[in-house]
Amino acid sequence: MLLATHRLPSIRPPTSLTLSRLLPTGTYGIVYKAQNRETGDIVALKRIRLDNEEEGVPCTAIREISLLKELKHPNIVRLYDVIHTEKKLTLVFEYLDSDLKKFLDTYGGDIDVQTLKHLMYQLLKGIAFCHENRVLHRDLKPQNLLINKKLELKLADFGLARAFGIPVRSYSHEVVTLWYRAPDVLMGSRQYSTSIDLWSAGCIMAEMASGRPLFPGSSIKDQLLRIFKMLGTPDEKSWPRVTELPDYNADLPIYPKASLETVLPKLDANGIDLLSKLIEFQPEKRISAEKALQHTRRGCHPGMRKASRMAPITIVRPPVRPLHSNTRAVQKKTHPQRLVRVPRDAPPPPLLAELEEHS
Amino acid sequence: MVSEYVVEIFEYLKELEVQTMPNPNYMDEQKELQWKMRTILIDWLIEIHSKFRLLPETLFLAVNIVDRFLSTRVVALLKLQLVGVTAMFIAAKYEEVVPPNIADFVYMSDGGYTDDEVLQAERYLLQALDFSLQYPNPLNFLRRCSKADGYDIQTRTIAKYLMEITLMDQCFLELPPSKIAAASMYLSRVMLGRTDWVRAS
Repeated sequence: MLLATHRLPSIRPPTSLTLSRLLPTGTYGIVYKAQNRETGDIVALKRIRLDNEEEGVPCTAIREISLLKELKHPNIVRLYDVIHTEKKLTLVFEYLDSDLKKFLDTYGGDIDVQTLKHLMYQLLKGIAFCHENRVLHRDLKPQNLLINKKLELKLADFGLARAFGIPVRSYSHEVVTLWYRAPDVLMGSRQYSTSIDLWSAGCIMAEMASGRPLFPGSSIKDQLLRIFKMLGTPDEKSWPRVTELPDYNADLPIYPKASLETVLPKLDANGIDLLSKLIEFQPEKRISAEKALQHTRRGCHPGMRKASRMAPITIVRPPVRPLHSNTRAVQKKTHPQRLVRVPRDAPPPPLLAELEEHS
Repeated sequence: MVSEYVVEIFEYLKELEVQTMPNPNYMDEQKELQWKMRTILIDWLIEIHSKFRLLPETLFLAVNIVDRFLSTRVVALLKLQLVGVTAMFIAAKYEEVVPPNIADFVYMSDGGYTDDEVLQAERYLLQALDFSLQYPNPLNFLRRCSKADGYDIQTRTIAKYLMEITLMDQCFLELPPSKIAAASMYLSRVMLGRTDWVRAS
């Protein structure tokens, strides 16, 4: 087990706990705040009910647990323990008081550049660590970036994450919340790789700079149009082989490239340069997390390393705002019909009998 | 894209492969089981794997789950197939974009087990393995050395076949996936008369 001191019964059983519901959503499960009776430590509990799960432990939970157990890094939320009973699965996480979404709701466009750089640096650190350990997060967005009063930022919610091979094989293209989804994935690419997380990082960087989501699309088409209005509609010249993507649509209006500087006056030239490399159309040209980190370390960012010594600020809880229903990625609980049906006419081999013969 | 992390990733996979190896002598501890039963079970798993048309990664992970589980728990003969089918059920959820339903797995085990038994076994297996499913299957390493001969399709196909048949024989349990991949690649090249490789400096 991960951390013996966190095992039951040191954590109060949920029935006698004053569990405060933390977040209305997660990719799955409900998150509560809880206290360890013995140590007084505050933890976050993510509870997944299993009694209504015909298919057993959801694959999101299997992947999140298996991957998070491996990923131990200051910028990735720690999974302390897993408590698995017949009716539910409880994941015991490190607790952080807020997330970037709430932080942005409170401070909006008032985040100073120093803080922005400090948060962005940590985000890229966390992403780089995932990628070095062959994990794609696939659902980076402000709600999934936890923050505490010391302004430490940690990647959370690995429900859509997965380990990748080299070279990558095909994966589902129904990943990443729409607003933060890369254009190649929006156009149906299934061969995406680490670049998928860097596009999201770019969108998050712009959102921190302006206080508003960069591309708040309402549908896949609207999402693409918003991106094209900013970056210019791509063609074979600006994005070779774009027309070969599965869902490429030649009928989309042609927009010229807009100026990022005008939309995001807060960013200096270096910031604009980094952002434009993160929200690069071509996935293979998009900057990597490691390179982006080197970029932030350049001379133009003198405050970067000092930022961690900044005075802690108090995070004010904003009123809860309903989440847009269209911002969720795949939520389907039921499995879609398999493309390949199991041939029901072919009777399976009588394995038990064969095994017994040998006993 | 990913190529810039390739060194870090393979260093990491080399660490992982040691952590996810089964005990090669686990049959000594089993009371009702023998190695030939493992072979029959794996053969059957390969059959349902191909009926479901699953990814090769799923098969390697499923067999690794079976072997690691049997390294930690004594299993009755009557439950051996349940361990196998549940391992495939878990592996498919981890690897596949669209995993088969539990009903398909129950059907494949000829009604020998119910949905509830598979779900209970799933819980038991995941607990015994502490949810560690990060086994770096030999395909990762094969693809890496395949790059050295320009992804020659014949060499790779034979090597993949050789890797798959190592699943059937317990004598390979003590070898890490990277070695199985390297040996398969080497033998495949010998079989095809392509033995002109030189030692890398």
